Amino acid sequence: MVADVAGAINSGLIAIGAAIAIAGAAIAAAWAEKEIGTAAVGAMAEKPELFVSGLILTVIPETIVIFGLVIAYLIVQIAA
Amino acid sequence: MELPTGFLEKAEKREKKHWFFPISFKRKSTSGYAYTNTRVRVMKTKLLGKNDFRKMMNMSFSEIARYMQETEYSKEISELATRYTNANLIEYSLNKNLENTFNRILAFSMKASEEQVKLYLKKFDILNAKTFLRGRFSGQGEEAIISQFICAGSLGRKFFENAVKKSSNLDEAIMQLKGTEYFDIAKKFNGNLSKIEDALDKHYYRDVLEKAEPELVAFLMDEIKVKNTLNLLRAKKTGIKMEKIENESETKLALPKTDDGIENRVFLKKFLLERGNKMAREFKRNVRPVLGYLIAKENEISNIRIIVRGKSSNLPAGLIEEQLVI
Repeated sequence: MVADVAGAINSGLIAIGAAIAIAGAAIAAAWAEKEIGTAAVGAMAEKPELFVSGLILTVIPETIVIFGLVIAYLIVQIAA
Repeated sequence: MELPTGFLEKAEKREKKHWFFPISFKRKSTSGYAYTNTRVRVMKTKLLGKNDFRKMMNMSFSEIARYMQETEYSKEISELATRYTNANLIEYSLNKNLENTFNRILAFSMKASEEQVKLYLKKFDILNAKTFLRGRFSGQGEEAIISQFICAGSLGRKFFENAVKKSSNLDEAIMQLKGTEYFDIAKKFNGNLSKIEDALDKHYYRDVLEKAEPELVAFLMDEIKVKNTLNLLRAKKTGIKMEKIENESETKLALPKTDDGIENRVFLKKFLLERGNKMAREFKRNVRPVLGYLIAKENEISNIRIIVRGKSSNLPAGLIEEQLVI
């Protein structure tokens, strides 16, 4: 019984750890994309030909989420 | 005008954030700056450069107008081409373009950035009020006064046009300012125009310095220093003794020459322009990049005006080039 509870708490903590890893990365990416996105839209409003470079720059912070995902995966794998 | 003190400290105090919670509740959200500043930075790339001004020096008025039609001035030139020609066409389209550009910036700036841009552009209200009063004082015609307005501030073109139409002398003109914050100031000096103009300028700086962010306050301080130095140069030329102000080194800038030459004026304008260019390159969440653009745009307009006026009064090309701030 006690072992079951301890096991449940352990897996719960592992899940929370993984969640924090991905949530932190996602919030950081969203923040960065917000700044870059608004600036890119501002630049595009004056020079529409900047659309492609604006779009590419806007999605670059998305890589941060991939790092978060990898860390979350590693936490779950190592703990398991 | 004496250099106002304590405003920078006050502005910094207003902005001071809590040590634990680093968000200032007194200032509006700064997220609007990313959009406004980048858009303005792109607009700055479209400004005319050294080569454009040199080309204009060798052109006739109609050629300059045609050249300008290929740039950001095309809308204004086409709009006014039916009413004016030659130097007048260029001159009026410059004013109109300045008004349109600054109004456009005000329209797309948001949150804290809108607030600060609005504060800075208030100077055009003062400029228009002074043009209006001076025009009525010197008995200029309606059309002549109206064409000089640059309505980029909070009082619209309609207000000033109505005021011009409803007045014929200085006293009536002052009465037309009723309802604005400038009425009481203008009324105080019993029709002494130079005192009214001086009081309006001082009112503008006091009011804006009171409400502005530290970055705008610091820039306005520089602008006041430049204005003070220009006034000193003018005063020296007319032989007025201003020893008291001259001794206060804080109020003026060190000039390259001691006499009142063109070099000194160009030096002062360049000082502000270089500050502006530096500010426009900054990547910060404040109003400085927008200010940098506004200065550069005003300078561009002033350069074209120098070329056009120089050409219409048949000044030699060398003398015109000396006055250009590039």
